[in-house]
Amino acid sequence: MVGVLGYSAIFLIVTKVVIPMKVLKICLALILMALLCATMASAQTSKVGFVNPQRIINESRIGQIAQDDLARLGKEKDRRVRQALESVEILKSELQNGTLSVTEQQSKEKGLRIAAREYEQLVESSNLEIQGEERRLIQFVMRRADSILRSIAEEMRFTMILTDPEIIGYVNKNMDITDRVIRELNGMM
Amino acid sequence: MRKIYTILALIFSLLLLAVSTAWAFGEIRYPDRPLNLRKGRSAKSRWVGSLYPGQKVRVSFLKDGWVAVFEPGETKNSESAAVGYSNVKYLLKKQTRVEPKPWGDLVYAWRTLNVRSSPSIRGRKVDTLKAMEHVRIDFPEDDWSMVFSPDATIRSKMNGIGYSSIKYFKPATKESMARAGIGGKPLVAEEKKAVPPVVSEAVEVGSGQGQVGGTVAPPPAPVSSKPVPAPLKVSTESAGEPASWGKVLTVKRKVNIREKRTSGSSLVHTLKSGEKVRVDYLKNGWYAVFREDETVREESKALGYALQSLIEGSGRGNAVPVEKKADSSKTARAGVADASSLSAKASRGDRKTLVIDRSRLGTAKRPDPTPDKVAHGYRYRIVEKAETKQLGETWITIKVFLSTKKLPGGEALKDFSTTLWREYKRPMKKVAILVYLPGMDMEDLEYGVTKFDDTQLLEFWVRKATLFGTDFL
Repeated sequence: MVGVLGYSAIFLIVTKVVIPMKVLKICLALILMALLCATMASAQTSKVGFVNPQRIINESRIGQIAQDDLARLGKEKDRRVRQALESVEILKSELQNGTLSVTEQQSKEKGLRIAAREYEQLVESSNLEIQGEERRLIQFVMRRADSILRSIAEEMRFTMILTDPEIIGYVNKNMDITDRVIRELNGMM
Repeated sequence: MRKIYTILALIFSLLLLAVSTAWAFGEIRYPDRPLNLRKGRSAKSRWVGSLYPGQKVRVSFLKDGWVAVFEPGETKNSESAAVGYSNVKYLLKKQTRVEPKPWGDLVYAWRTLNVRSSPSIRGRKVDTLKAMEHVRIDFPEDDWSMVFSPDATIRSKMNGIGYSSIKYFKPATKESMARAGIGGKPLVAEEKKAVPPVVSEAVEVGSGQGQVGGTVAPPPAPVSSKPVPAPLKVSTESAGEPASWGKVLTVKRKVNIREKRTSGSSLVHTLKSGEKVRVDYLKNGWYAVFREDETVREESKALGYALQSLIEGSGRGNAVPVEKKADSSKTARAGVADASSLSAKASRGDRKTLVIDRSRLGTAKRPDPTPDKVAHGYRYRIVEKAETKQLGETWITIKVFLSTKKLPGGEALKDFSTTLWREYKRPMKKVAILVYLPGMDMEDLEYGVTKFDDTQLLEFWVRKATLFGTDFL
């Protein structure tokens, strides 16, 4: 539309056709309106969507299963830590009895030091492992969600999808595709 | 006569040119993270070794985003001299982070010793070591180990000379090295030079350090064997004359103080926001951290080490979760991992950017491996066996594909794993059996994890989430 009007105007000017001032004004007004429409149309094609990763972890079935997995690992680590602590406590109570010979006392003290060190190492490594596992599981779920997210983005012609709820002041419900991603993730199970 | 001189000069120049050309192949690069080396130009190709962050390597033969990796001093401009392949995007032109990781053991042969092509007496003889000849050994397999040149800097199976029996080696000593005329300088020495301190916080996140609040019990108070430095005093006044060395910084957020200049070393203290400390001895992007009122400038008096970018507050916001040091003042409390731990992550203030690894989305999953063995009624295949060091412990990791149509129960999986452990266990080494089921991506997380030490089962658990996309879920 704009192109046609523009070309017509240029054609008229180039061919030096004498046109009345009134017609020229109308033409210019039409060109301006067409330009405005085109700008609005192009603005409409640029759509920004939003997805909340936290809700995907919390509300999708796969996210909930991942949370159960992490809890299971925590329990297993906890069991091991309790076991290690028990052995420390046993050695401690044996030492506190005070009925040991000097040699036995020294040997028990050494054993206690070793058990305590092992216990501390176990606590530290368990914490590290759980933290790493948490990160791996989140990544695992988000990788699955990401493939769905991309197909939805293409289908709904989003040019951008935001994922950080902290930086968003307002999101139109139509632009929030979290529910759909969760639904489709659940549908894949 | 003049002609002869001219010809000689010409030949000499040509020789010089040839030598310099030989030396100049490829370029020097440094990995920005711990990087795996593969046998071919694919992430799915067999693992052959690894590089530590900041390790100096020579790269060449770029193809499909992958480069052949060579020893930095390699002069043979041929892919046959490569020690592995790596994705070029992780190999930077400048060192951004240096975390040297010693590997292997320096030993010497106490008698003339054959080096063979495989870890067996039936292996082809590829070399012979003279008595007192020093070599580096790594990748042990039973009583055999891969033999490397003592100058080798890259830990890769493609960098080895061959295999020799461990029983004919003795650990290298200063005397043995002096006798053999070896300086005995550490192989990573050259990497320890100062580097531009642009270590990002993401580095520490990636290193697997961090906090899982309240998941596991803290150690008991009276038996604490590790000396923990006294908490730093927040004081604006110095007790005596202010020290003139280093610089005093006010910490802008929680910062981990580590035992060594690596993010993998153990945590000794956590600085709170607002605490004042003195820092000095900047090396490899790490500061030695002292009490603010420390008057003696001596590195041994440091509380530990902290990343420059963190302590100077140049990093990004609160992206790094700070590891909670086990509180020795509390009695032991058995904590269970909170099921909502994942869900609480983003709602907490310590948000961190989640980077989705899209590289795995583009490639189709490979077909399931074909099982070739049977145990406990399950057909299975050992897909990968590797030996690694984790937190100072040697782990034998075995990836197993279990061909089954019915989801195996916990006890069945434990029994199956125990049978494999009996086959692969070694003294003083821990074993992890990682089980994959049909339909799973074998490059991704495994379903069943069973860990053993050399005497018993340590722990067992399964990840049901990994069954997503399979017939089992």
